[in-house]
Amino acid sequence: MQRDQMNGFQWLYIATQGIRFKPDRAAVRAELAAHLEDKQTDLQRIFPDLSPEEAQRRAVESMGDAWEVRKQLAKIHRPWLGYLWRLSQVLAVLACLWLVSFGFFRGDDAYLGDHPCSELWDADDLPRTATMGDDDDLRYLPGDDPNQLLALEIGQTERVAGQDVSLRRAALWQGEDGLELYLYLRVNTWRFWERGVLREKWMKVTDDRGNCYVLGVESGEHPEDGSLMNGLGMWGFGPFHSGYEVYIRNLDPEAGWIYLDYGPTQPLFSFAVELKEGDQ
Amino acid sequence: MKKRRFLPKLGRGGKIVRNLVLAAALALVIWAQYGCPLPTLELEFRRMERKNLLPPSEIVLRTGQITVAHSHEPYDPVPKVTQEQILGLGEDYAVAFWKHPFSTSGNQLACWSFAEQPGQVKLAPLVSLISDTRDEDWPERESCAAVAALELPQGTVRGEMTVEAREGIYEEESEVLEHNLCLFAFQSRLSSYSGDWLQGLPYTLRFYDAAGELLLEQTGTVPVRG
Repeated sequence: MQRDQMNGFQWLYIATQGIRFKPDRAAVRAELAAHLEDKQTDLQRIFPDLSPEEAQRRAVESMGDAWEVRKQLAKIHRPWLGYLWRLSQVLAVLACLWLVSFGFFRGDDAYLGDHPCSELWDADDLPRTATMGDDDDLRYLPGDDPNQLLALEIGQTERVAGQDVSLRRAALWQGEDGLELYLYLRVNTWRFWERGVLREKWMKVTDDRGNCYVLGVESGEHPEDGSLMNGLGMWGFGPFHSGYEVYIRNLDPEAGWIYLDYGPTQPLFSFAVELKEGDQ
Repeated sequence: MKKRRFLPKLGRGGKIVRNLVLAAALALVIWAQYGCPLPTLELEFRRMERKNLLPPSEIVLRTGQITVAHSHEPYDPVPKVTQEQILGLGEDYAVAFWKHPFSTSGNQLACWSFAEQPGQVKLAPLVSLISDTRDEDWPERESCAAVAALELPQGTVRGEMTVEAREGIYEEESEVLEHNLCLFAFQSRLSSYSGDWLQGLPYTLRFYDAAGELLLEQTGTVPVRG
């Protein structure tokens, strides 16, 4: 193509052809076209006798060499940045769509689960739905229920396999058939993908009188409600914590200390609780 | 009057960073929604150990395809168990890990305490259900179970295991595998799909050296899942 015969359209085409990212090319082309048009209008205003064709030719001339401009523009506009931008848009939109659509189809339990014990964080330092007694006293908070014998805030913590296992609270109640002990344990981790779990079979509960309290099915049934006498159950969980409750409903009234040892063979962690008011 | 922008106008680089951060955050939520699956069996196993507060064990067995040597149905194809499992050896326990094919919440980790096994050779039944399709042309499921025997006597090259069940006696044999262990795979004669059917049954183990001499005979009951 002869450079001196180039019209505005051709100049724009050549100058922007080096920009490989299409949306950028269109934007630059529009900007240059506006610039070219402004120049042409200015020329026609200054030289009213000038024909539109001649005004355009001069405007194109003043814009410089199209091939040189093309080289410069290609250097400035790196295509990978454009592609990355487009990719980031697609990814963000896809992720939004996926989350909304699949979350919608999976219902309420898509995020935290529809378990009544699920909660974002154990803000109150209590197991979920820890109620007891006729007036729904919170099991672990000191109250005026005459059957509540002890309510302890403990806060012993051990770090095991990168998780913080803590014995948070203990409560001793007078049940209809004897003393009932409740212990609240929590496993914390910021690694939500490996939130810790406790197994009932690995928990050994003993006292200072040499009693060993069997948990689970082997502990027998409560005579009143048929539920298990002793056990370990999950009470409250969220992305970063699991809450567990150990309940012993045939506690020796003479027991002064309770020992928890947890592990398949050798204890992975151990806690000791003195059953009296005061710091633990 | 010039309109005030609530958020500063971002350049292309800023937009890229914003979009990628948004996509990564959403991808994290999606990953969590699907139970945070990990790409390999070993990573899943290690995660399961940490979830159960266990220190990392030594991986002694990674099952590929397990084939039952003695099928009690001679005219049917021999059952093959294709689900991969990992057996790890801790200080005084073994852990068997089975990955659920679809859901990470279905992954199982069974622990076998050696303290409860008085004999020299320790047994670790692999995680419950390992029954599977025999092959693509034979889609029937068979209830199979496998038991790993660990800490074998020195010089063992072959082992035999006999299990006495109510419906009869099961006999299997195994060569010694890497890490000095034998793996015995059994096919149930009952149409029960429980993979735990072997647990609690009385067994006899015999181990032989290269000359065919009996090195050790041990009896006991197959340990129950801990």
